[in-house]
Amino acid sequence: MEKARVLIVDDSRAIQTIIRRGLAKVDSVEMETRVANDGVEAFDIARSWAPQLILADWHMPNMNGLELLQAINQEMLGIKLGFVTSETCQARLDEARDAGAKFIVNKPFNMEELTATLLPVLQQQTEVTVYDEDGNSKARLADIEYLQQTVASKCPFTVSLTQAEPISAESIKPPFAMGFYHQPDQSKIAALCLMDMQAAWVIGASANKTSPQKLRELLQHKKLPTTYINSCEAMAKTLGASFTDSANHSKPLQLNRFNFINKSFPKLKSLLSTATSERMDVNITAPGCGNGRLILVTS
Amino acid sequence: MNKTLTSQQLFSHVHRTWECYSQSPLNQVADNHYEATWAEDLDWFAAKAKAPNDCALLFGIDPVLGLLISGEMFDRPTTFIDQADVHDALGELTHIVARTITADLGINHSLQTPVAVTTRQRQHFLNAFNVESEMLAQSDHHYFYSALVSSKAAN
Repeated sequence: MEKARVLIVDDSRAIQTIIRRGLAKVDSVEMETRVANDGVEAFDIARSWAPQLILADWHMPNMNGLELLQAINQEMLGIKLGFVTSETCQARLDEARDAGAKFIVNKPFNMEELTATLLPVLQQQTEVTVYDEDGNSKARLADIEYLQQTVASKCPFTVSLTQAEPISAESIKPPFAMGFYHQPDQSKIAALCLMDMQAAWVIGASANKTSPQKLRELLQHKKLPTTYINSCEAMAKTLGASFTDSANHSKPLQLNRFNFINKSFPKLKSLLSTATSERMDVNITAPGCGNGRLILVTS
Repeated sequence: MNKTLTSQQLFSHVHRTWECYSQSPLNQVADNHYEATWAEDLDWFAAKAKAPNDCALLFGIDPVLGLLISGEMFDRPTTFIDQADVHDALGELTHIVARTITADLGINHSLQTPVAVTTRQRQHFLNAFNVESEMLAQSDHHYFYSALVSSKAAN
């Protein structure tokens, strides 16, 4: 059974100890914990260790908890963060929730309260790993809710994702973008994502905070701006966290390559096949940006 | 200050935080008032709200009690607790209580990091500030005093 990685961030060593001790007593999820003293240290650990969950204080020197959450969003790390804080200002707490905070536990807290809050978040994360018939680990997709959170937290404009019925390879009109993922330290392709052009416009416009008027101007030129292409690639990188593999302790899959493809190709049909894999089709929309299609497939 | 706390309300704030981190009961003592005779024996911490909310929360705690609760918070025998640990634990305790109080009073936007205060600083606080509310409690026969003070100028 893999361990869930939890990063505790607090400038008080006493609180670090209390939370760590409390988490060690949780039987239902085996956890590996690390601690950081401020947001800067936490951000460095988050990038190298890829925890599933960060429990962060709000008021800390160098980089506070909200700034840490914003940095994680900016970097598209796809890591869940909840606050354990004495902050009570409603406007600030709303700001944290808007930025994607999974939960807020107020200090002082008792451990029962804290574990009751964070367990559903951890269990949601650990349930996405499965084994095949031979007992080998296998990449698996996260659910639509997780995908929504991952995408929405990176896009300043409201982006909505809904699961859709799979469409045939023939009905996917080029150009479209494809990203291929591999497990860390392995070259074999473990998963792929496909985004049609409309999805690329939605992601690009949202990530770059393009106004509806400006977007209409851009759409007239029909050429996806370079900044949008970069945003799509960054989003594809983030979507690596939507695939997990138990052999690698649920570390996000790594984006191997990302390309815009101008012509369809025969192998696309087999790549999107679901005979031995999982596939999720998603409609992605944003106000004034239309409706695009995102397809995620494990190999 | 437009609003303040009764001694019982102040004790409730302290007690709610205390019981999250300590197994030892904390009981309020009937005579709440600060007295210089025993104040000298306590370790002092202060969390100050920034202007225009010119008020502060003072904590005075018996060093033995400070050591005991620090040991509980760090889950270590007190022989392995040093002064930095005590400052960390009591600083956090002061901060949490101060935040719950300032939120209750509607002034939760600007709180400075709690600091250990010297005898001279404590005297300055008590000279320059009005005691709005105070409470004295005991745990294991050791004193724990807290006061909510506001600037005389602000009044």
